[in-house]
Amino acid sequence: MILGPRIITARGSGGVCLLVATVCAAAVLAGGRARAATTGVVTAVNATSPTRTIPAVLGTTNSSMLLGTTATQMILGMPDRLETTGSLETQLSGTASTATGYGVQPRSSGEQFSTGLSSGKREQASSSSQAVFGPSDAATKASVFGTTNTQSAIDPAGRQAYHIDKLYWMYFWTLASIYVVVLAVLGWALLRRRRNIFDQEQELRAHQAQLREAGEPVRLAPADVVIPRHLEKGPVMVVAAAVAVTVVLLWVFLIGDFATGRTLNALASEKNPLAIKVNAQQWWWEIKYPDEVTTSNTVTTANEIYIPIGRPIRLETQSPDVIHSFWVPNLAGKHDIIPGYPVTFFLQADKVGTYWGQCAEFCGHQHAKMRFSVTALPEDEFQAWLSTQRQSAPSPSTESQKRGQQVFLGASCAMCHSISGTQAMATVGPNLSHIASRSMIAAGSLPNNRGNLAGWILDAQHIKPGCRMPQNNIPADDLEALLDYLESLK
Amino acid sequence: MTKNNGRMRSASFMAFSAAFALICIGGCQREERPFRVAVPYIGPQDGPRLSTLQPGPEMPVKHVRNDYEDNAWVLSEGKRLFQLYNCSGCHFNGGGGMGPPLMDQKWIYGSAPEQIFSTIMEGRPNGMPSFRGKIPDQQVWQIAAYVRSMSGLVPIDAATNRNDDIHPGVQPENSRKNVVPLQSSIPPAAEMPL
Amino acid sequence: MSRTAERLSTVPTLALPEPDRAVLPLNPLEGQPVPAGANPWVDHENLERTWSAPAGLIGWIASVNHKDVAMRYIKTAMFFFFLNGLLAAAMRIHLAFPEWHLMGPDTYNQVFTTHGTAMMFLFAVPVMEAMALYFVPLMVGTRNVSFPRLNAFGYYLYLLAGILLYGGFLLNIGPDAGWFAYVPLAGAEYGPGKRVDLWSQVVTLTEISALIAAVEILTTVMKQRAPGMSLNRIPIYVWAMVVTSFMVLMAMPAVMTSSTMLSMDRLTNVNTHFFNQAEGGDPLLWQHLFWFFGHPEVYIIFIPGTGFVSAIVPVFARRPIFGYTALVASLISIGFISFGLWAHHMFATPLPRVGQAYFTSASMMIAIPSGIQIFCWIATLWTGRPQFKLPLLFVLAFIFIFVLGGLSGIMLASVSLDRQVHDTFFVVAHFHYVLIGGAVFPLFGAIYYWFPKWTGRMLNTKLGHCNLWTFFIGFNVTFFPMHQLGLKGMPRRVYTYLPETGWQTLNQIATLGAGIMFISMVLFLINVFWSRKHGMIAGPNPWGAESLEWGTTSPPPSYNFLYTPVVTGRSAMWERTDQTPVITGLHTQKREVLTTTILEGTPEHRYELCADSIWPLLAAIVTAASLYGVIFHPWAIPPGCVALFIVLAFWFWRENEPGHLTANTKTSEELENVPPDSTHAAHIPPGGGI
Repeated sequence: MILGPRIITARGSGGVCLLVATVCAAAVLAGGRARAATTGVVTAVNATSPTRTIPAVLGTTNSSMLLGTTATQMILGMPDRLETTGSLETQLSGTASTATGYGVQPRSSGEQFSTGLSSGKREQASSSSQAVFGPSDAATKASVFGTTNTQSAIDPAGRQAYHIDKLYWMYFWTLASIYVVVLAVLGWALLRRRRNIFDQEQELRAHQAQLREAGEPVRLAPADVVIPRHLEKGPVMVVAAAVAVTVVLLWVFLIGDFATGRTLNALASEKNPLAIKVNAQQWWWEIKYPDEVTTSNTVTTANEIYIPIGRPIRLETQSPDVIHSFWVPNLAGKHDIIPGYPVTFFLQADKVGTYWGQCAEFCGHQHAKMRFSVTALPEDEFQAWLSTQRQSAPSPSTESQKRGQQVFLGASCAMCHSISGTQAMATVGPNLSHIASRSMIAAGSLPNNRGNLAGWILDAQHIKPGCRMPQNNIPADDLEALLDYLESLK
Repeated sequence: MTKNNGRMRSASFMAFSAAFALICIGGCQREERPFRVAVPYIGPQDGPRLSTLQPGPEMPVKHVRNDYEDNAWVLSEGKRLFQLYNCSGCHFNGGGGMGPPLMDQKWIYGSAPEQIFSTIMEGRPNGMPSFRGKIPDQQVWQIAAYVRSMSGLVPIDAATNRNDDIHPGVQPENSRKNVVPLQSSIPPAAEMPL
Repeated sequence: MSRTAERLSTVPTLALPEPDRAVLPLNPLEGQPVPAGANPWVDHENLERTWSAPAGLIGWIASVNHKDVAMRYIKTAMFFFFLNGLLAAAMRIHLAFPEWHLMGPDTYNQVFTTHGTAMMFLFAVPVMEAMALYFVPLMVGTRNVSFPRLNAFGYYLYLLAGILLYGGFLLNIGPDAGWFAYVPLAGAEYGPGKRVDLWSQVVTLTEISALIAAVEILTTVMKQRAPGMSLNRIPIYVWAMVVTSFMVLMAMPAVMTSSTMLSMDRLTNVNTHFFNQAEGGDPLLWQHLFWFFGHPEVYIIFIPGTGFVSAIVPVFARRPIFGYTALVASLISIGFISFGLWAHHMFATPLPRVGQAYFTSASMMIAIPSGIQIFCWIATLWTGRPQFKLPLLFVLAFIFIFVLGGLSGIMLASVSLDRQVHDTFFVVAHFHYVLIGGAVFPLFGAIYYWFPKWTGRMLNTKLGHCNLWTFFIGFNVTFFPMHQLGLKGMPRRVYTYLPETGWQTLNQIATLGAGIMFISMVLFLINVFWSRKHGMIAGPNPWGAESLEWGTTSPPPSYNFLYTPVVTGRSAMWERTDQTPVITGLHTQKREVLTTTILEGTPEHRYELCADSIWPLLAAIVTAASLYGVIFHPWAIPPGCVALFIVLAFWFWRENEPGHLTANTKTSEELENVPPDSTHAAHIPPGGGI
């Protein structure tokens, strides 16, 4: 308290303010460049360099990530995710005793599974997923979250984002310089030496005494106030010059923006784009790869987009319900998808990798978890993926899988989901024909493994309250069979 | 400005706190969003009855109350599911088609919530499919609530509004009372003595 | 002796032990003689009786004194500000940990919507207008605003709007579609229940109240200035409020229209299709209409902030503001240009590219007048003699923060950049920098500056420094990391995020900053409540300031000025001499004010203002009840109209008594003898006059 008034001298306040500004500028600098450093334990443990964007598939390198994540969570006292309640099998058998058809309280079974899945998430991933999930190519066994730059606008991996990133840094440096200059001028204005106040006041008092004797009106302003009577040419010129500089700089910004805009739009006129249809719904993304020539080759999938690198992608977007926004920061800017306004735009990936995107327009309860991924592959690998997806879903081979298919078709699953090659043809929910090939479920918010799938099927409302997936009461052995079947749909 | 300011202030403060407490104690059920609910359980003992005839002394029928009928979100979900599960394929938007109209006050199998629930679950002669095991319980209750709203049996402030669609007719299909729909024929075999 | 005490000791103050209005401050305009023959004691008694509100509860409710109404507005707005801060704290706590389901998505949606709606509609605009309603009549030298009962009506509507919003939030009927309620999410199909309807009516009520305040300020400034105060001599703060009021008049009807259209879409019995694409409407129409209001709205909030700065900087630089004409021109051009910027909120939508280019240009162009203002303030400080008192320190904090926010706004003006950072935390950081930096910091500076005028006591300096520094540091720690968060891909309005995204650290830093800001607000409240009882006594002009409100006692009497001086320059208090004339000839037993011409400020005629009245409260209750009813059914309008008609009939019923009847009531003949020419001290009527 005592220090307060003392620090606030002219020099002190100006100096401290400039210091704060410099620190802030330095923080931005540091944040912009040393991206890995800002994310603490997780990335540091992972030790992937910021610019290398070939991610590893979930499950291979996760022991370190597990440690890192758990440690971070423990340090920060995060609730809810560290309860371990035993193996999945125990939990499932626990559920069996409570599953009685109508009137089951879904909460209890769901809660068991949700806590199970939070601990099971990483462990399951590392143990069971390697052989099951993901395309078999080495290049695509990428950790989805290998670095935290897979959703970053300033880590461009595609042409559009690259041009925007360049523009951003040009703006940033220019504006930061302007900021520093303005603060410096302000600091100088505050701290510069001035004429002694007492001399000024003495002069004024003498002058006032003269006026009073002469009977002239005496101004009643305080003695330290100076009212200039003539145009102050110096400051006027300085201000005018500052305004001129402002105008010039604004022109520079404007032209930079127009140039970048034209460059971004130039992608639309390039040849051989790949067309992808995106249907953004509450709260997931339906992705279609249309084939005009052979309609049966149309691939319908959900929440994961695979594209070849080096080729423009034409995204034809629409929304049947509310406004969403398609945004994958590493690749391009966002485009709002407004019902009734189908929007076509272009992007292109230039580096192999998996990039995350998220809905960027508030669309209701689960806007926060409406995510999707864009995986960029070399052309041949992309074609391999596409041809796998074009095939019908694999037929069940084992007894358990056959039973699982019966469960799928007989229960409420087929009312919303479709699996190609079966009688389940509903288009309300995501297409599950190749669900086992996806790395995440629930619109990019849960890793795709057995435990999570089980929890999602039984009690999706616990994981994503308000989403369109209802709670389902499926007896334990039916659930096991169903999971076996779903896991076979590669 | 006046000497009474202190008194005014403490009086208004107390009034304000009392109002605040009342408001907090109260709540508005219409606006809840019950994503995860425990729905009513209908066991064999007190299932829906389709006939009012009973042997012996007449016992009062206890209707299940669907608490969430007052809930706007439940009704809007019911409306969404009504379209989604293709109820509108037979019942259209309540005016009926292959199936009987749902907007009128004529209920073949009863209008109580548990009766509509069992109609959906069990199916009925002459074309009503059974959705047991196909539509989860909670969603069936939501659809049942919406069906009741189509005849104006729910509070009007909770009832749904129009869709953002091209829709037939001038008014939305919900929350009308005493409507005579265009299609009012019911197949004779579906007429049951009530 | 500290520098503050030195400074205060050179400014003559009245030796009053307690600010007690029963003792007449003989001559608050030190150095100036009382008009010959005038008896200030009698004049004060008469004026006080005429202009103060009657005693008792009814008198307190019925008061139409602009200071009473304005203080109520300010206290209510600050109360809402602190409530909103709690909502913000809840959000920050929730975002500190990924995947934390402390609040479900539904509750979180209501929290951020209520936070935004209340901050924009219930705090930012009303508090700025309230400060103007208090100080503009004082600064222009009149006794009350032009339409006193309308003023009270506006306040009660505003209070009822706040009760509606917060009551709704507590009853789980609070709006949940964001403060700008985009359709179709807020529309008939995807917004079940009455939440968005409640939001529409809150908007309607607050916008009526804002329009009322704008009308008051404009009319008072144009027609009720002190003689000699020509339009180019009014303080820059008053210019800022004039520009703001014109903007309010143009912008508020747009949002009232659009929210009413939304209500009509959603009401079952009305069932319009304004925003229904399938039937010929358009969801983009909502965005255009809303942002046509929404962008000027933020300038409506920011320009009064610049007004505060323009009021504070000259006083603490000890010279009149530099570049008066340039500042006025800048304010007016900001007012105009801000109406041409709205589509920069829609750059992610499929608008035509050429159109977007125009909005980019306009958004960059508005930086020029804003820059001129900053340069003029810096030039004032440069050529003046800065005194580092708390109001000036808040202004310096404003410059640090607002300039940074403005520069990030230049980034957002570019379509390409905006495509990456729109609807992310980068935008959240930007608008908090410009709104808190550009409006709240100047507001706090203004509170520290004008607290002695309100209460007669100074705010504690040490607590004030702690308040300032915790606020400044806490604010930057909270919002600066959000720039980075937005660039790293975190969208806004998310109730949680996945841990793998790596956003946790920055979010936790931001939450820490929010905690520091919370401490700052607590310190502020302690300072205010302590200083009201124990602060250093301030005289009429503790800062030695230049504008006219410092020419009366602290706090001002109900009649504002005992002898209003004629204004001879831009800095009214500094330009007057010991021979500056004062106004005489107005009645002391009727509520009379002097009206002057718009441009030159020469006296025109005397105008009688109305007495205190309970009818504004009743009219507000009836209007609000009708609009509350419209949430549920359109049939609430006709009975509301009828009831309002009845209440208005009583309101405007020809009154029997002008002002206050007192024991010294003069006969009409005696009152008629007072000459209309009011600027000479020569003729004083026998009954006493001013």
